[in-house]
This record gives sequence, structure tokens and C-alpha cells, in this order.
Amino acid sequence: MNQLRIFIFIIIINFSATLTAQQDSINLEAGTVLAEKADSLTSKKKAGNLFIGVDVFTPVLFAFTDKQGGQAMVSYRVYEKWNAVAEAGYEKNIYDELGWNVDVNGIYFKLGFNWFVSQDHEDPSNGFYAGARLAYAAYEQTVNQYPIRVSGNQIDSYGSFPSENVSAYWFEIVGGGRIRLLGNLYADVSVRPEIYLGSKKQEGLEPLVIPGYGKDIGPINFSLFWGLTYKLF
Amino acid sequence: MWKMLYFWKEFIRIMKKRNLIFGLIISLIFAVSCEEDDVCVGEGTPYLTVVFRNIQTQENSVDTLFVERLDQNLENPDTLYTWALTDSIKLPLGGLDESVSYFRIKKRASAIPDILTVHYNTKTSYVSKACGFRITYENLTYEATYNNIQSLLPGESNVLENESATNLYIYYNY
Repeated sequence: MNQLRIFIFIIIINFSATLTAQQDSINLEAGTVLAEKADSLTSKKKAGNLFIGVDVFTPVLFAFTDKQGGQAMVSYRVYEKWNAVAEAGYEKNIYDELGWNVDVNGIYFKLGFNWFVSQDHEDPSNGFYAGARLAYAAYEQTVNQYPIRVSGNQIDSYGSFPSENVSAYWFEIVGGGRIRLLGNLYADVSVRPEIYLGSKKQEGLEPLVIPGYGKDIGPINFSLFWGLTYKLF
Repeated sequence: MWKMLYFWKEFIRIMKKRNLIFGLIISLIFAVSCEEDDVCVGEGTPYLTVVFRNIQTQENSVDTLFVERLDQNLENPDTLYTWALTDSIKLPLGGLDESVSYFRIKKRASAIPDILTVHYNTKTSYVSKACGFRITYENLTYEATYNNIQSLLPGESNVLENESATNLYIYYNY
């Protein structure tokens, strides 16, 4: 008797669930249509937001690493989800490992775009984005010490090269987000896998540290951007 | 109710896209962290390859070898091989400022040792971050005391840039 009651209860629940589900799908369609309309309206209304920003993470790193410098950026919303981005910075860094001692200091530029994957309906500047950058660094490199190794890889002696102006370029893939803090102030955080493309070399040496790219040059490197951006209009 | 449902649908849609992006980034981080290029393998300064031969048969002869590296006063031996049963050895030559290396070579434990002297000029060349600069050797010439060594035969090239070629053949009576 008890089992029968449970059985009937389950059937009723299932039935009501199908009913509500059908209703849901109708509601959803209506909802989507409304939202899409709202989305397109807001998007068209607000094309063209100019942002200026600075990197606030690198100054924190001063205390812990040899890296010193700063970075600023400008971002302009070109069309709906597309933002053109330009970044520029200065970096001073040292590579001091594996018997090497290399000083670099110089400027770098990054040009590219951000494409917003998701945007707030109220504020299209708020959201998550993916993007890409092409970067170029022009810097001065001084090889204070390079290791000369004998058989068995023991360091035998050291040599050095004077300062020389060199350059490097690379490609960055960007994934990040911009969140409004208060008023027109936004926090902007992004992770960037960097793919080294090439460089003008000093004495045939592969670069060990590049301003804006980082240390431990492999085929791929990583950098982070933690910034504060301000919406001008 | 409508708004609520729409919110969840939109939320799931956004999360899916977001997960795709962050999934890609995280997998890239893993791919990169496996990379290890701080160890110098195979491209560093080459050793001098020496092969031992029997003067009668003209064939490589395997025997028990004792090899030490000596300083310029033929003192302070640095053991390279002891009781090594082989027919070929690899000798480390000197650094950038050196032009001569001395080795005490003995074939079989009870034999009288010979001194092998190697003269050379050094040159540096860039290899990589991990290897730094390596030394290559030119104008290799050899001398020996002939206690047990019968003769020396230099290899085809008197330049040492890699270890694949034999640089010197040492002939013994046994």
C-alpha cells in the first residue's frame, strides 16, 4: 500500500516536471528574444569607450625580483566586442644564472586587440576577454659575464661583451577580465602566454632576458598584467 | 521567473566559454612547465678521443687502463681511469689560457707508465644558455715517452670540434 503511494507520487512529480519544463522552454525563448534585443540595443548605443591604464603589479615585484619598470596601456572599443589595445612600457632586468650575468634595459610596445567573450548588459566594458598582441622591444644589453666551459661542463673562465643596442619581437595570446571597481575605475587582469619569434642578436647570443617578455627564454614564456584602468568616456 | 531562468541560461553559456579560455591557458601553463633547458647536454667542450691498438695486429686492443691527468710539473695527479677495461679513452684538455696537457697512461697494473703530452691552441664559440661558451682545440700535436708505447698516430684531423672522430691512436706491443 505504501509502495503504491510512493509510485503515484513519483508519477505525479514526473508529470508536473514535464509540464513545467515545457512551460520553461517557452519562457526561455521569450526571454532570449528580449535579452538579445536589449543586448543589441546597448551594444549599438555604446560603441567607443576609451580606457587608459597602468600596471600595478610590477612595482610590487620590485621588492622581490631584479625586474624594475612600468607599463601603461590604452584600450579603445572599436566595434561591439572588439577593442583595440596599445601598450608601452620600460623594463630594467638582470639575468644572473648558470654562470651568466646580463643586464638589459629598454622600452617595449605591444599592439593588438581584445575580444570580449562575455559582457555585462548594463556595462559592456565589464567582462571577460580573449585577445592577441604583437610585441617589440628595443633595449640595451650588457653581457657582464658569460661562462666558458671545459669538458664535463665545469666553468673554466668568464668573458664579457660591452653594451650593445639589440631588439626582439614576440607574439602574445591574452586571456583576462575587466571588472568595475567604482565609478569609472576598473581592475584589469590578464594572463599572457608569449611566443618568442626572433631578435637582433649580440655576437650571436640568444637573448636571456627581454624587457616586457621576461627571463628564461624558451619557445614560450608567461607574463601577467595586473592593472588599474580608467574609463575616460 | 523569466528573468531568473534567463539568468541561469546565460550564466551557463558564459561559464562554458570562460572555461574554454581558462582551460586553454592552464593547459598551456602545464605544457610550458615541463620544459627544461637548464642542463647542458652533448654540445659542450669535446673530449679528446684516444684509441689503443696493438702494433702487431693493427687492431684495437682492450686492456686494463690507468690514466691520470698531471699539472705542468707532472705532479698532482687527477685520476681519470682506473682498472678500466677498454680500448678507447676520452681525455679532457685544458681551459682557454692553457696550451698543453699532460697525462700519465699505464696499460696493465704492473707496467711502467708513459707520459702523453698534448699541445693545442684554444678557441671559444657560443653554444647555448645552458652550455655557455665551449672551447674547441686546433693545431693538436702529441708527444710521448716511449717506455711501453711503441708509436703515436694522429687522426685525420688536428682540430677537435666534436667527439665523433678519433684524434689519436696509441700503439703498444700488446
